[in-house]
Amino acid sequence: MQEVRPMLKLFTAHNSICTQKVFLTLIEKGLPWESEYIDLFKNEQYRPEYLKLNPKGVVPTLIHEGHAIVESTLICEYLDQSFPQPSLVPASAFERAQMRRWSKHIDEGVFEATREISFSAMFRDKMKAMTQEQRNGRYRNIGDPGRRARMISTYELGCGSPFVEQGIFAFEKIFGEMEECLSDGRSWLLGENFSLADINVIPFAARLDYLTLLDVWIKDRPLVAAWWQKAKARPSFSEAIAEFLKEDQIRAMAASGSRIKSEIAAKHAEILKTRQSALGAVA
Amino acid sequence: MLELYHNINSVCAQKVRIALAEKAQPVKEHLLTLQGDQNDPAYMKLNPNGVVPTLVHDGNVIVESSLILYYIDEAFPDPPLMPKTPAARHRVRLYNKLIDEYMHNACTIMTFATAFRPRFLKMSREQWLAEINKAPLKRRAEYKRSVIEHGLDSEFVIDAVIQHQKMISWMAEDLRHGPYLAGDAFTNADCAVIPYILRLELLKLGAMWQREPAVADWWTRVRDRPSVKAAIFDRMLETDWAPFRNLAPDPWPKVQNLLKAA
Repeated sequence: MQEVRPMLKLFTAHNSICTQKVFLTLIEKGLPWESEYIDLFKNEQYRPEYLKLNPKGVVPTLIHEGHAIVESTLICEYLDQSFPQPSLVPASAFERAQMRRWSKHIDEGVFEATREISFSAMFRDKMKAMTQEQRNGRYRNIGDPGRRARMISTYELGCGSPFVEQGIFAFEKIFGEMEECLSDGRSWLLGENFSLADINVIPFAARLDYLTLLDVWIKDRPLVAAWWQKAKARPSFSEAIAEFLKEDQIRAMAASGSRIKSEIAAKHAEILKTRQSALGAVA
Repeated sequence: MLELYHNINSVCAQKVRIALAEKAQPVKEHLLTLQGDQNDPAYMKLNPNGVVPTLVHDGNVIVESSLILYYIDEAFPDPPLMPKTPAARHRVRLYNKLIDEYMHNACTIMTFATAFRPRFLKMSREQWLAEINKAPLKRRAEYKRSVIEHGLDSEFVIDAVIQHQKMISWMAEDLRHGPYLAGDAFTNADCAVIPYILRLELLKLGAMWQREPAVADWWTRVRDRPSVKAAIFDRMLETDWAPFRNLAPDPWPKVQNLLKAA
């Protein structure tokens, strides 16, 4: 019997966290795909042909059987439904709800958090080198006004932006929940099986790790640290994330993250204190 | 056994009640007033964000209305509320994602800027600030603060209006292909969207879809469904209608201007 190879095409960008989620899923499932690169710094994501596929103008977009599938979390679920084996989604409805809670947590808190923190560390300097006109052009291209306001604030205030602070808090919350979830001895977030819940978190932890910032949140969380070592040791991690990065990109991430590390750590300590007192008030 | 913690006017609770009615699942109800009881420590143990609804099924606690919709369909597959093909399922999930990430806050902004505002304005500023600041979701508290203070002049309103308009244009586009949002059958996408369209109607903003006859037809079609009648209209008491009666000032002229400027 001839092997039927699925025709999957993925629009992607270099070092895009959301694309890394989809890469992890494709590789864990052993699915071949073809990538087409979009240069975000040349604004290729806002070309009319691409906006037809992906109205938000973001990566990734999966093309399969003539359908444009958008939103990385939903692309991963789509892939699991279209190619069920090996399964990355648990069998029971209750565990699936847990899985989707992790991805919701990522999509509605951690995703923005990572963007603000990465932006402060890496892209702010790149934007400082632009003319005001070029920067305004970039802001205008962002359709979502909330997202535009966050970018302007983070550009102007760096780590002093309230959005960076919200980001630090969002990571504090998810890593705290992970430590608690893993405390019953389970290997992965949903139990003994690696799932889309893990896949959703891995690229975000990886970004913090490359920025040398991860230990701000996990140095006192041994279970998350052990989970992270296991996740990094999976072959899919090197194939989906590490091997795509060049030596100089890795060095640049480490250098730019190190520059803001003390500021991030100080803000983190401050947040822990205020949150502690807030918790005290409830009790 | 199924237990639902909810509130009659909560949009997130309404979509879950519609799905449960579609599945003809009996449920033991716990009604919350949302005037402080959502932040009671006992309830926050079930739902750490202090929001409704919460579904408890044989002891398992499920939170987040969009996830509850998926859960109900997976736990009670008949009649199905998800389409069969992965591409159509993706469309349903996109609606839920649009609602979770944009529409829900937009709906809160519009409602608190209009119908729910007078209740707060009867209190002192310290009193109402204390009430809204109890919510753990800080960004939502900030939206509420702004619209209680400034009504439809709040800086957040224009984006909220645009988000609603965007959802209406998604609907118009999808309804070209079938009577329901994901094709020929009523699905979780319809369950999820109905409460937001209802809310616009209650806020006298039904004119937002006057140029989209397919949306108007869909609304007539779904509001007559037995599940929607049972889950929403039969449940609304005079106290639930009260905030939406005699809206003053009429929100439409201002919203119409914002739409023209956008």
